[in-house]
Amino acid sequence: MTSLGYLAAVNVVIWVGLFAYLWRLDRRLTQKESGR
Amino acid sequence: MKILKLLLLPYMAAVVGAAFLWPEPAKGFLGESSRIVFFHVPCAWTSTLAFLVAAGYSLAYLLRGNPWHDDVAAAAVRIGLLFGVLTLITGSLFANIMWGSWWNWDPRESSYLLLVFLYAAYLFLRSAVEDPERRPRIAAAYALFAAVLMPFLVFVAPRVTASLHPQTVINPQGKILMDTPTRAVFFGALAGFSGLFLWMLSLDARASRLARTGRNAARA
Amino acid sequence: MLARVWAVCAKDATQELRRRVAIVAVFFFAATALTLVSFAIGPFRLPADDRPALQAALLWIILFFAAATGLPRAFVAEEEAGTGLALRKTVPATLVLAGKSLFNLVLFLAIAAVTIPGFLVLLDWKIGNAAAIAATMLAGGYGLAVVSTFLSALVARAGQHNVLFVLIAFPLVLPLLLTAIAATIEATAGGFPATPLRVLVAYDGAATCAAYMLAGVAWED
Repeated sequence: MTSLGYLAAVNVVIWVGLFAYLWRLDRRLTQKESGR
Repeated sequence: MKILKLLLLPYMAAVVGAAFLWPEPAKGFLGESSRIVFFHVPCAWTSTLAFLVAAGYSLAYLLRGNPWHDDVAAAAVRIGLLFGVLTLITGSLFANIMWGSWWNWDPRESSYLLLVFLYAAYLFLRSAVEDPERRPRIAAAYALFAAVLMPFLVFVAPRVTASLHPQTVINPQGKILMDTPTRAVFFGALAGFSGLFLWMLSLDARASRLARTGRNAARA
Repeated sequence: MLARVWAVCAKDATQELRRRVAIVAVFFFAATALTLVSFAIGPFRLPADDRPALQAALLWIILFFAAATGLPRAFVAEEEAGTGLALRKTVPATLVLAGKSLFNLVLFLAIAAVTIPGFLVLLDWKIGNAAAIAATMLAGGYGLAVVSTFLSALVARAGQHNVLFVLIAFPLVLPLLLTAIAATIEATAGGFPATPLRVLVAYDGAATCAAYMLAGVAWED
């Protein structure tokens, strides 16, 4: 059970990292689009 | 839109967590290996969806000639390839646990690998056509031609020879062979991956549009 | 209309026959591959049980790769000779595509007609159902001709078109080749490969429709 919990935690962390990356990319694109 | 994107954060976190912790592992599979279904199948679904979107936008480009449609089609192929490669990797992980080797040239593996080649060839074709006026048209023609012949690759070729692949979700019995928690997490993951795909697609296409309009502005 | 399709096909035939190098290369390739296979394996190296399957696979590999040196020339040769523009102005794209597909089909059947007798002798291939083999060659060759002619139009004006052609063609024709091999196995054993032939015809139909709809996009400016 603990190893499954560990895997779940690792994967959730990976997802949060991916989300943060996409979120920042989205914001930067919006900035560039309005700057033009 | 922004709220939907923000909602994706807790939603996917819940799906990913639940995939490991909630449903019991399925019978007939070694250990916890059946949990890969919550990642492998949504990846395959997403890449198929992406290739369909690419075909749709290619058609739209040919009918209307709007370059934004070409941006979306190319973006869809790139994202579809990403999820396609993830499908192959997750499938390979499962194959190693269940069948003892990373790659078996199982018909399903092979045909999926060729599907990835097919759309990798699309990107290759794009980069080989140097004329920016002609590129979107050639690419769209190939994407549509490929979409018409894709069913033969995906549905017919794997059935010419016997496969070890577990029953697909669309199976001969026409039933979804899952218990309730499995089903909930599975369809939750499908929805989450689809949402993630749409977001990534719009980001990629917007970036292409910025690059394109930037080039045009520089030329003018 | 048929006359114009025929005219395009005849034009390609005379052009290729006059230049000779490319067309000789195709048949030379088939002969080389056949010799290599029969040298390396010979008729008696193949275990009796696996023989139909191995022979069918080898035959189609030889046919496909020999054809692959000639089939993509359809439009590529046109661009190399600089005659593409004139053809575009005078003949509608669908008819050009049809004529060139016809030429490619004839080319494939010619390769098959040369290769198969050699294969019969050198690899001791015993055909159980000759009519079924002929049907397989026709249906397989037709699909191969249509798909490769269409793709040839796409790559004709791209850089690196020979490599590009193989890359984009292989995933698309693989289902066709697998099905043709399955049909050949069954026909070799003497049966009638109803299911594989049906799949081949469906593939041919799908490829024809798609090529017909997209001909203008692929070839016209």
